[in-house]
Amino acid sequence: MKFLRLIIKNVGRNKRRTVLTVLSVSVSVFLLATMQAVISALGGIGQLTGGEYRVVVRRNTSIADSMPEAYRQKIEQVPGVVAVYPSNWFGGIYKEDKPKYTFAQFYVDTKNLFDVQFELQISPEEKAAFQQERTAAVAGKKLADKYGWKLGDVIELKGAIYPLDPRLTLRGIYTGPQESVFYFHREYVEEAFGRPGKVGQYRVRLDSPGSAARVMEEIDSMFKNSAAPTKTETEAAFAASFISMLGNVKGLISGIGLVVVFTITLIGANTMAMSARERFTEVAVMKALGFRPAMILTLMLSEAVLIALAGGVLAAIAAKVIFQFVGLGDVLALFLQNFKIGSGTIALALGASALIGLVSGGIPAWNAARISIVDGLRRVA
Amino acid sequence: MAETLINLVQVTKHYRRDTIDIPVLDNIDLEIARGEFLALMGPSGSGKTTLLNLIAGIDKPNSGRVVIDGKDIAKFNEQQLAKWRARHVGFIFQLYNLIPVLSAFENVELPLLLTSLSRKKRREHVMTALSVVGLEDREHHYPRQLSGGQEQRVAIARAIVTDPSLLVADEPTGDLDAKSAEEILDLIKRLNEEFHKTIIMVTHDPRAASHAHAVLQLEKGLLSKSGGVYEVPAAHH
Repeated sequence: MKFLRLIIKNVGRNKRRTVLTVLSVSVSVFLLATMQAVISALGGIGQLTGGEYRVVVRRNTSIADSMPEAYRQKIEQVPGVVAVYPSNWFGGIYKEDKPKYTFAQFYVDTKNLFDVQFELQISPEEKAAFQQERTAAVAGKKLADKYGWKLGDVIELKGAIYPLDPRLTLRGIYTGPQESVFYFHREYVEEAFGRPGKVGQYRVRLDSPGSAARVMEEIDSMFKNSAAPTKTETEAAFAASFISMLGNVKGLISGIGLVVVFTITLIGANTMAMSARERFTEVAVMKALGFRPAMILTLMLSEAVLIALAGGVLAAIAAKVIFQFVGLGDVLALFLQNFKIGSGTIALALGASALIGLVSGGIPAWNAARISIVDGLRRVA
Repeated sequence: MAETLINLVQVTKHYRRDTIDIPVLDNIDLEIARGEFLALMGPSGSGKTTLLNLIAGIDKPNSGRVVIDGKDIAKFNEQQLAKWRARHVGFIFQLYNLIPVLSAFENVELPLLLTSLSRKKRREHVMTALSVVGLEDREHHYPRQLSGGQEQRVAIARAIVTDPSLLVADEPTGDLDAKSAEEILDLIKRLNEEFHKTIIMVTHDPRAASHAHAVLQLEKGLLSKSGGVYEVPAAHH
């Protein structure tokens, strides 16, 4: 502890350089923390309660392609299938075309929605009100809270994919592991477009998770020689394929994060080397006074770790504030329901910053510890 | 007869620059008594700073023995030398070499951080050292807030705070004006006379050397008079 003041004073020696180094480290560690949170969230897709009881049927070509409405009856007849509902992505604009107003919207068959998505909880009255009124909609509690929606509120969407601007009344607010989705009537859209009968995906509830493999195979075999062959997947696989439309997100983010961290480590090493060079004589004096090389090494490494840790703490706070309180994570949360800056991510941020400090300070500290006293003192004279 | 504190026996030192061997000290024999105040003089490159470094344990001879208080420090490894210096040697440099980010108090406290003294005891030691050099009211000042003479006083306080038996000073007045230089020399002399410190001072300045009990001349790595026989200024004896 008695050396802490010496370490802190040396850290504050060149304030501008220290601040810039802390900021550099914090930016890189912030990216790393974000990367880790995204990767964790990607790993959690389909892990939500109930996902193991469902499979998703879509076109084998792309999730953007559609299937005939008539498939529903055939799917319902497959042994092991308990309930089915057709669902289409609407992708409308709420208020403004900005990320903070972006959320998942599906028009669905309201009759079976809560039978298939059985983990979603809604009161019988709200469920009935939703099913009876063609312009009704339901939203997850998290979504309703975000926009301050109450039952009876009118929610207007502007069609971005379809030339339709639905005007919907919120009749129910559901709770559950996934509370960021907005559902409204398939009938509403079908009628507006003259009943084209196109379905983006069928959500299928199974009698047991063990039926999944057989049901998937049977469904795909059934439509194999049709005009619209299907690809049936588990909910987790479907979500992953949705994500895959964004490209190799994991690889991309990991790559960027690691490159930035590596670069910052090099910059940190250069900064520490500069600091050590400037103190060549001081280190020689300290050694003359009796400071051993190991002590010099420890002191200089501590400085580097302290600076990097300050960056790590700043990054953790920034990530927590930005993603949790400011809400820039909503865009990510659209696809990544589990996206959050948790304690594991914060631990990773702090660990990574400490490692940056150790690696960047290692060589300069080692060199400082090996300074010859005579050479160091001669430099002054 | 005075007790011998420092005994150099057949000490040779040379440096190697690339492939060239540069002799600095050649078979030096020297005895210095405890409580002595010795000035080392000689032209640039004569080896006086090297001799000082060997005695202070921050450099090692190529051959010979450097016996300080009965111990041959030439045989010490780096760890042992560091420990030995912390206990037995105080350093006074030409450019003071204070740590700019530390206050006068913290600079003087620096060598004490290597001891097991409590914070309270360290404070007592530091304040005593600062009072010896007359700067107890400057404990919170940083080096940039002090004059050159005051900086050197703080450096002297740092040198004596661990109560070493030997003080080595390399051109301690080389960067000071005449008045400050005289004050510093008086202080060093006081440390010798009142606190019985053995002092070896490298200087180019005959006036500074005149404060010493004895002057040792070095010329091309050789003592002008070997075997501990010094040229003693008449004014002091």
